[in-house]
Amino acid sequence: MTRLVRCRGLACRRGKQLVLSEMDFEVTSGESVALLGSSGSGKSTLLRVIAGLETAQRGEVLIADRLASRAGQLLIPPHRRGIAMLFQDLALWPNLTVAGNVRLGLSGLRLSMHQSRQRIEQALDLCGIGDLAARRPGTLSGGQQQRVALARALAVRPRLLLLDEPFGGLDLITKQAVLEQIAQLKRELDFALILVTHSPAEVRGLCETLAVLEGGRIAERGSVDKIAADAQSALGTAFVQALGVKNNSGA
Amino acid sequence: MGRHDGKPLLRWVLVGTVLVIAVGPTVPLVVLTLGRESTRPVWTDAFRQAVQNTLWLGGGVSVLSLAIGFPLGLLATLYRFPAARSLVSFQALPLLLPSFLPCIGWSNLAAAKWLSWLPRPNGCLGCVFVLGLQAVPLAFFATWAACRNLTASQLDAARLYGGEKSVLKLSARACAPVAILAALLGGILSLSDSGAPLIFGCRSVDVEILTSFSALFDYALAGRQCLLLAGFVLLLVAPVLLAGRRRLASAVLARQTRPAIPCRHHVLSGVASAGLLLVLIIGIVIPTFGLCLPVLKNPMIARAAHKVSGTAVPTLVFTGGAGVIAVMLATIVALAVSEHSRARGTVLVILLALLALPPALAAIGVSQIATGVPPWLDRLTRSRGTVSLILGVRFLPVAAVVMLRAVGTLSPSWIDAARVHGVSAPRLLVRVVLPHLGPAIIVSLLLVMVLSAADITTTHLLQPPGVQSLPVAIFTVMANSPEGLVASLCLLYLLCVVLLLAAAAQLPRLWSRRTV
Repeated sequence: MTRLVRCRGLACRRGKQLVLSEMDFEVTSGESVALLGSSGSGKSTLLRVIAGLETAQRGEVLIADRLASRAGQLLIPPHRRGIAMLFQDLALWPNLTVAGNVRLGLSGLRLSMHQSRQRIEQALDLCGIGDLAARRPGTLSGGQQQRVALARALAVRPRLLLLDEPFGGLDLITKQAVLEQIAQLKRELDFALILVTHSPAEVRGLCETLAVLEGGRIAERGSVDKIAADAQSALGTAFVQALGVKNNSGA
Repeated sequence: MGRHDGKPLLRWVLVGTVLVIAVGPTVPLVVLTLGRESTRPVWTDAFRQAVQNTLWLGGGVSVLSLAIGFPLGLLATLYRFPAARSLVSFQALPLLLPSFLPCIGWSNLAAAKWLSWLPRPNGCLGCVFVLGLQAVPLAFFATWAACRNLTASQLDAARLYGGEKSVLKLSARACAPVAILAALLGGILSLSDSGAPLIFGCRSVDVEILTSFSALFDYALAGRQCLLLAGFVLLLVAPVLLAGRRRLASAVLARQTRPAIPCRHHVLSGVASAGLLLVLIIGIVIPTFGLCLPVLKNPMIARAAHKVSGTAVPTLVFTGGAGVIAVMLATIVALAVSEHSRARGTVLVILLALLALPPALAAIGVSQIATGVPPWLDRLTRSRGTVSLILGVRFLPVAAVVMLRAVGTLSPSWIDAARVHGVSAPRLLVRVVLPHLGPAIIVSLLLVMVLSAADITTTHLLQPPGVQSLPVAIFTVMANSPEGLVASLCLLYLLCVVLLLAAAAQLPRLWSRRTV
């Protein structure tokens, strides 16, 4: 397993509040990490720092062992990091069609027209929305919009997919279908993913590793079984209980 | 923590440049007036009386605008009633017309013997009546915008715990500061209106300025009077705007939350509908009827149509150019300050203060420069482009308010997604941002066009020789042409404005149908 993302000593402050504090965090290729934490604990900030949308005041981010950002400096721009992101509100551009959204998402790759068309078709077919190519996001259901956002993200063939609580507005059945689709695509395309969530159902469907964020640091990290066996944090304990895994520590 | 959102220096340079362009036209008069002596004194008894009249006028207009616009704005936002969209859209109409238009209508009604029982607006009280009705849309739409920022759940909670009384109380408290600011702005804007005071015989400062400039040809006196008026206006407007800066900045910004859906109420829906209808009847229908009287007696539609066709091109060039300039500058400013609430507030305060200044301030300064430069520079100082530029800069604040609200609806995550995918800023602008802002661009363009058409002072003072816009043509023939011709011209002008307003009201809906 190669190391895909490595964060060292990240420190971020929003106004007077310390969001991340000397945080170390790693993701290896193909790994699926669920990032847990209470509201305002810095989960989304960590994703944004990894994506290159923000820079930490201290510390550094390495992508595939290359220094990507360091203490306020952005060394590799977001679209050169091999990272795609599913935003909380999906961030679909409303005036473009589904195909237009995917096409504009490929801007950073400088593909030829032909290559671009191929990628769009592949991505839409992969997500099962080939027939929606000419529709605009406003005319689609929540589940279809999720798939459009997913197709846009996967069209760039990312090594890492960041999911920032994107399933909030979906009903149970649609959410289950989308989760299964992402899990299947992950198996086929072998990308790593970091999922920010509060939902045990989403973790069960996608992730094998849990990382609990507390006080701006990773309080504990490990497989579901490992955390169930020896939970160090209240949130970790509650979460494995909600997952239906037996907690051996008795915490 | 650094958010990498483009080039901050570039955006501040752009904002600075736009503000310099906005302030620029007022500079020549200040420089020229301070360096020139007038043979006549400025502070005479007549001028003191004019200042008193003007202040009384501004106060009266503010009170009337608030008293009508605020409750109607609340009711129209909170309650559902038939033809709401049209009734609300057409509330803007009085604001878009030059004040002389309803004044001519009321004067015609007063002249008709069989309508002698109707109240005759006259003198300063008549000006308060007409200009107050014209300022009602400011308080109305400010209340409407502030009330639409309340979320559905806030109103539901108020309704649940205290019924409609509680809903009205909550909304009134939330919207009152913005409505008061808008009404005060309406009053201040009326200080610089010469149309109504001229017709109703109220000697205001603006009338004094116009007399000094066009009858006495004393540029220095007109300049000094204009600077005095600007000083008064700034003294009044600056503290008000500074105190309400934060409220204004937040009221202008559209929220991303679920907006409240108007509900039907057996009494209040009827009150809202009747109130809006009454304002339209008194502000538009009755004066329009007054304009129709001479036309019915002596129809001169053909002559008026000939006059309209002769002035149509200059009117479109002046107003269209002004619209394009205002919208371009407003879009740049709105995009540059969209993420900085303090900067947004500061820019709004500066622009609204400039809007409150008398239009003659820029126009007299530029026309004084035009008289002093060699003829070959006329293309620069006395051309159609000059009129468009000065009008565009004058109504930049109006376009800026519309564009700031529209830019507020751009989701920050669209920009984040573009950055993750490597979409360049120009490409994002062309493919996503501008199409999204399309309706607001069109609405602000049309608004600026109509408002700049109604600005008689600027066009009258700056238009090149032999070229006349339609409103200025009406204004100049008003005193010495047959009533039938003046009224026909007014009616044709009103028709054009109504058509433009109807287009402005329908375009966003058509656009959203196209993009959904």
